Amino acid sequence: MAGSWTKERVLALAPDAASAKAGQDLGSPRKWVRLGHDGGRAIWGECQGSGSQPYQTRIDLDEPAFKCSCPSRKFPCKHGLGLFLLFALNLPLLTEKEPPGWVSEWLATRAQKAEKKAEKAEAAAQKQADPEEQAKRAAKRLGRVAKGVEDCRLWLNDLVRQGLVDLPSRPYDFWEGMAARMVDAQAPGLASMIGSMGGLANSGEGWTGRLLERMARLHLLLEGFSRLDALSAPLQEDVRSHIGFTQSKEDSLAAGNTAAGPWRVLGVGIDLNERLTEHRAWLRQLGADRRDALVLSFSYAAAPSAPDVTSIAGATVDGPLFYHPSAMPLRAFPAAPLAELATGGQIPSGFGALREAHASWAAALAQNPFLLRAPWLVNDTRLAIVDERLILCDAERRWVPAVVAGEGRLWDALAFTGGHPATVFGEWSGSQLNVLTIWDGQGEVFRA
Amino acid sequence: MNQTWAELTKSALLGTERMPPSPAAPGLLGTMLEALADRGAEERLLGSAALVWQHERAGAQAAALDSDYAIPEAPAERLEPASPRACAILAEALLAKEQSVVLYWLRCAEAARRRVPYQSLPALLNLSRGSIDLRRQLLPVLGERGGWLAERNSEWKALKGGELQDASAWETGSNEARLKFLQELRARDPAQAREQLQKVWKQEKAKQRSEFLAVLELGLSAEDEPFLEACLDDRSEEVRSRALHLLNAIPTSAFMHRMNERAKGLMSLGESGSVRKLQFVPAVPVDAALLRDGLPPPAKNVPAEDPAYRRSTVSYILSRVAPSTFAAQLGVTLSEFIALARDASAERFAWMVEASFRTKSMDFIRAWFLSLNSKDFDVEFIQRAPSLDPATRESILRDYLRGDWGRVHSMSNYLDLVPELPSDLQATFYPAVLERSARKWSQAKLPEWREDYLLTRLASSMPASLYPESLEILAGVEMADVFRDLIPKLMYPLQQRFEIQREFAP
Repeated sequence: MAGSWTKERVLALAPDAASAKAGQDLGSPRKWVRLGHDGGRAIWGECQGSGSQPYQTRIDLDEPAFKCSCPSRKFPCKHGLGLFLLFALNLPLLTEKEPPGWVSEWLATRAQKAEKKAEKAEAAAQKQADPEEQAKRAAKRLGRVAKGVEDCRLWLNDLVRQGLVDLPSRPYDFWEGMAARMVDAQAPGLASMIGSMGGLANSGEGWTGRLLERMARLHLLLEGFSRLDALSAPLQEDVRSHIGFTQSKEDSLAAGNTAAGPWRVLGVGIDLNERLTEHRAWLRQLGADRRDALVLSFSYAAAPSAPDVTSIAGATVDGPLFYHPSAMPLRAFPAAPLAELATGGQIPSGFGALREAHASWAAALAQNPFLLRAPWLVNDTRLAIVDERLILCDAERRWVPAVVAGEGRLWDALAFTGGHPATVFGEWSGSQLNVLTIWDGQGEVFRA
Repeated sequence: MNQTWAELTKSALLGTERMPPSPAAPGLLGTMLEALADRGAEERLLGSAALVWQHERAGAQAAALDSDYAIPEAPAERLEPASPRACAILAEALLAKEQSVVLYWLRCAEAARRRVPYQSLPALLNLSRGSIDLRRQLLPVLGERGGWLAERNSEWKALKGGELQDASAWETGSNEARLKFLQELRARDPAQAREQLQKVWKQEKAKQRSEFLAVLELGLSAEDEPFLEACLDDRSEEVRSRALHLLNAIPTSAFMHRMNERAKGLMSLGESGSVRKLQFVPAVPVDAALLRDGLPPPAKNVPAEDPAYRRSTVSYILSRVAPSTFAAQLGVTLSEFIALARDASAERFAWMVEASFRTKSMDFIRAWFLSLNSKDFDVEFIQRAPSLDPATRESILRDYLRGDWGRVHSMSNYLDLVPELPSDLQATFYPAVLERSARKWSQAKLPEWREDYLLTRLASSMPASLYPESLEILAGVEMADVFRDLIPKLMYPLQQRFEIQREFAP
């Protein structure tokens, strides 16, 4: 079982780059006073920290699932990652065979919970299947959301009427309270936007402009919802999605907007907020159509999802993807796990210049004004530092601001390219490119 | 963004009650903004902001680089990269901050004429900021791209020149930074370091003068003498003492000439029966010159004629003048003088031993070491080894050991020293220590921290080529599982170095 786990697959589980680094640090046997594997699904270890008692770390390979006695809120923590790396790369070091009590008890509890969860899911599914019930729920939700949207509109209007000048001094409760009301209104998308506005109000110089941008975006969404019937069906889906309505996989499967593989994984972005890890895999269809797809997955702290073949940028995978409805379909999902065809390949071909990328972005916004990010693959570019900031420059000597894993890996990227021409893939946000993958002239790959 | 946005932002900041929005713009955007004019002020502001924001998002174009700006590009490499496995080991050692393993990797890379991998450059450049050894060892294998990268980061820039501290550190840095700068400069250019020190000498406080003066011990030569001689008049006793210590090691110095003159007639040869013995004058005249040359003045309320003080004048000179000087004055060979000196009182002989170290009289030093029992040899040799040149140190040790490390009192005392010894001495030392440790473990129930610590230190310092032999030694000893489980973990750094050595082998 260790053979299917590689270093890259293990590190793909890390909630952020710092955790990946810390996990690799603990991938050395010197830090562990006890290591074991029962030959099946259980791995365990005790790692000496700063306290008197070592931290007890255990892994259930079935998911995988992690549990550690350390106080870290990250999931998996660095101990879990380190232990997993030892399992993947140094299996002979896990010498204990019989799991201790604290491991077998945990496994038993997990089995009980899984059984209960399955029973609950079956009951819920039976309830969900009733069409009359479904329609009632949908109508009820729509009513709640409409009320929430109206409340939000009034709140937003109040803010601009009174002026934003006092907002930096408002406590976070001010924002969290309104966000909570949107959660109650079953509009989590609005809640998330409002929840982050407190941070913008306290983001230092230029905060007014940044906050006004967010408010403008929120206003656009509220307006869109208010005139939903006047919008095209696909654009209605975009508005709903941003408000927080979940796009059901069953409905999207039935709609039949599908594209066949093979696909190239262009880049992978991971964002961690307090409880949720968002994993974004950008794929591009190989062949004439060259459709782009964004495969999103989320995991909660308690249950990180196992990495799959879309976790490695540069890989070629195969299988059909089904698009969620949108004015500009990007979000997609596989109905069955994709097959990995190759871990590498030729340097992919993209835009020849940034003006082409900008034109593509403008066309995308015209279709879907709510678009927040777009995939940009640009050939023949160079990274450079000008006036202490990173830029990406194309063959026409035009440039855009860039970041690499939020500045965390700027120097790694620069070391990789050496200022030489490279193919870069990233997410364009409208103001800067978040670099995710770089191919150098020899086809070597840098993953942010 | 543009002027329209600036106006909207101002209106939002103040509030629409105080500053109602009236955004305007040319072209189609302006037309769309006008269409919102009949809305309420809040709706107008938010709607206008949404329009302008989207307009900017959709219409922004990449800016043009200045025509005279050339995008910097790293030059072509002259060295080949290390193997993928070697690079993986380096990455692991960097993450674990195993500095000794990183240093070893860099040395092996230099010997094999390979360079560091690009992916490790930022971590290496950051790590080397805190270590002179790492900086020096990194430079030969940094590669063209590494140097190019270092130039682009203000925290790494100085590394490329092999210096962390640039000249500004000497001018404006902390005392610690200034000391580091002076040490690095003295290693490169002893004369320039001395000149830098002389320029600022009068402004420095006594503590700094003393610390900076100690730096001159590295690369000490007769050229330093004039400055050091002047330091004998310094108002700080610590500075004077430091200067005396350094002058004592310059045989041609005026100070040593004065001491040798005072040594004349201090000793004579007498006979007791048929045995020749050294005889000493009871005292040496005390004058201002001798006090300037470091003779401690009498204690308070002790007159200069006090017999004990007068005897101390003799021991002062004995502890400063090379034994060979006395031998020459007495007309005997050095080995004859050593035999005579041993027969003198233990106290007087101890003064002569001190003198031999101060004046670096190696023959006397050697004879003295070889006369010691094992416990005393351990203590004295380890303590004094740093003051001996490597060739003398090795020679004395070989003569003492006679091929058997078992002759020393405690082998663990030598852990710090052995890595600096030739490979044949290391090749006999480490297996011997390992066997002793393994035998102790075979008799114990639980690991003791001392043995853990010893094994960890051995794993960090043992030559990598001894790794397979080490495993054999440990495998050949019966021990409890708890020890058996510890071994791979404690020996891991050695395993890494063994693999590094293997990867860089021609």
